[in-house]
Amino acid sequence: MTSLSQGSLASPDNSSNMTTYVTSDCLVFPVQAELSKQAALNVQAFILDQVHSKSYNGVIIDLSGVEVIDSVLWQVFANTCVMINMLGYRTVITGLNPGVVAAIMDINVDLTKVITAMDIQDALNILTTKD
Amino acid sequence: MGPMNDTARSDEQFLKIINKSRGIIDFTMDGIIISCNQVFLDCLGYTLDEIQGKHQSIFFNEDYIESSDYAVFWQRLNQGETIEEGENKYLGKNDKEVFIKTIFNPVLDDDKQPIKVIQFANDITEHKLKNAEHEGLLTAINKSQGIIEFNMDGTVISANQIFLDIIGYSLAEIKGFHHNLFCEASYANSEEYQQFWAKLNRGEFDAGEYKRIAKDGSEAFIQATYNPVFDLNNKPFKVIKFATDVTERKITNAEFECKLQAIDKSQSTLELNMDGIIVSANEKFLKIVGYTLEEIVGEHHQILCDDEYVKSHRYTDFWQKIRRGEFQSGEYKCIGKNGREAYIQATYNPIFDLNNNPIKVLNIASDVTEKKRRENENAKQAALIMDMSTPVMRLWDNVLLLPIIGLVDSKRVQTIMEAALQNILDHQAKFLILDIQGVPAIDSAVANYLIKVTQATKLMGCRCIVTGISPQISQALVNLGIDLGDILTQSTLKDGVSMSLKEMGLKLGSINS
Repeated sequence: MTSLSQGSLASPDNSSNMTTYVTSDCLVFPVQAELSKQAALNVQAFILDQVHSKSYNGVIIDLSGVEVIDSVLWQVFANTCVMINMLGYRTVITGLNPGVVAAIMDINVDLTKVITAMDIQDALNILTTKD
Repeated sequence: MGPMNDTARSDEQFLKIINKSRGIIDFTMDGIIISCNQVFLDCLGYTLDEIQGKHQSIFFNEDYIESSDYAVFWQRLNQGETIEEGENKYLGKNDKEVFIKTIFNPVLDDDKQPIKVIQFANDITEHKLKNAEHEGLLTAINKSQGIIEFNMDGTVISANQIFLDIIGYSLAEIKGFHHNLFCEASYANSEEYQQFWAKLNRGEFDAGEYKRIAKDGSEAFIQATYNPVFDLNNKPFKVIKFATDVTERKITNAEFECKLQAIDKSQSTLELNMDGIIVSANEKFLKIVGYTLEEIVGEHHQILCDDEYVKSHRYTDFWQKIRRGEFQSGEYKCIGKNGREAYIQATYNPIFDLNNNPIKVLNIASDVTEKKRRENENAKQAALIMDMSTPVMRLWDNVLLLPIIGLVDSKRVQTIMEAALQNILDHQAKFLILDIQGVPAIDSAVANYLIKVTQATKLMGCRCIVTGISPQISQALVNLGIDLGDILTQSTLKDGVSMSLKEMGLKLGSINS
């Protein structure tokens, strides 16, 4: 469960390097900076590409480095979850801080299609146990 | 020889002096000008050549020359009579008007027959003009002011129409009567009144605002000066009084004064000049700030403000607006003596002069310190209650309990949510038990708030169990058509705790078993 394998390094976006790693057969994608909508769409394409080319237990998008999320950005991530689901994997979003949560609650978006967890450990638990 | 010579010399000198100071002109008995001196020429603007040999009538206008007066005048001269003219209008060169006082002396021969006339002339034009000016001035005063004249014993000599209008009498009704006719009996009999006339009799001038009684008994207020007029021996022989009716102004003033007094009694006032220097303050204002009048007069308005405000651009703006003549109002913090804080609800009113330039600022204020203190206290209490109303307790490892007691509104739900989310993060909680036993009633709004809290909790990766749902509340929620979705609910707190522990693989049990 704690085995950690170095993931690939790719840069679909010039402004940010994207790092992923794989742990317990789950693809973990940490977002470490504020994203523009375009950057988020690049992330989306990148993850889908990754998931499509290999086989995983699930996908974890870690947003603990993000301080601000607006409705557009949230929609991109929610859509990403649905898209990954279509490819046959479950996705968990982790690391939402209280400020981000309060903002998301204020913009009244659909939350039913998204699974969230407090940290990566919890996310791994969800992805590995409830298969 | 000696004495003869002396007399001749002094006569000569005398003539010289006359020649320098008087215009002298002589003509024949026909009126033809023989000669004249420089003074006379200067006076009329002619040169000697221009008038020598001409008839004396060139100095007069035609009306006079053709009149019988002029003929009589020459007749009298021819009879050897000396004629003194008080003043006569002469025409100089280019019709320049000159007023001349003059004496015509016929010069007689041994047979007492006049052979020529010598005229001594004095230019009195300036004097005449001055007189005209005085007359004009008097007419103007007469038209604009009430004038009444008294003898030194106080009896009326005369009065003009304006004065008569003020007091409502006709001239005949007051002429010869004493001045005390216009005074209240109490004043007329007073020592003060005696003093007043004694003062005038000493030749002293008196001015001021006087209350007088008109014919119909009504009060008239006049702004007046009593001017004793002196004879040549410098003794006053009559009193002229100039008066203006200020009754209306007096009434308006009285009204203003009352209004000002009312403001002064009920409100705090502070006067500043346009540089912000304190000019005066009333008792009430001093009480607010705790200074004495001497301590703040001459100081800048700044001493009443806190440093932060004085340095801020708001303060600069404030004075700029005042200087533009704009009125300012609002609630201001005031620093009193020894740093004492006070709050005033104040208006800063620029006061304008007659040219509409602001000349000073009147601050009318009321003390709202007490109100402000209460407001602050209320805000503090409200904050305290808010804090108390969201006690998030750690029930177990990773299990938090948030009991909600009392009414829930949007503001409160915001604090509840903030507190809950922060605590979830701090304690890495897996479960949040939201106990709503203490919520008296649930309507759709409250239900929506609660749903929001549970959703937010879920986004944090924490599961929310709502407990304390009574049968009434469950009925209400269903009847309202509220779908709680996949929110975990339990009827009692105990069930909620068991559920959370079970989910984490823990179990409460008896020690004995």
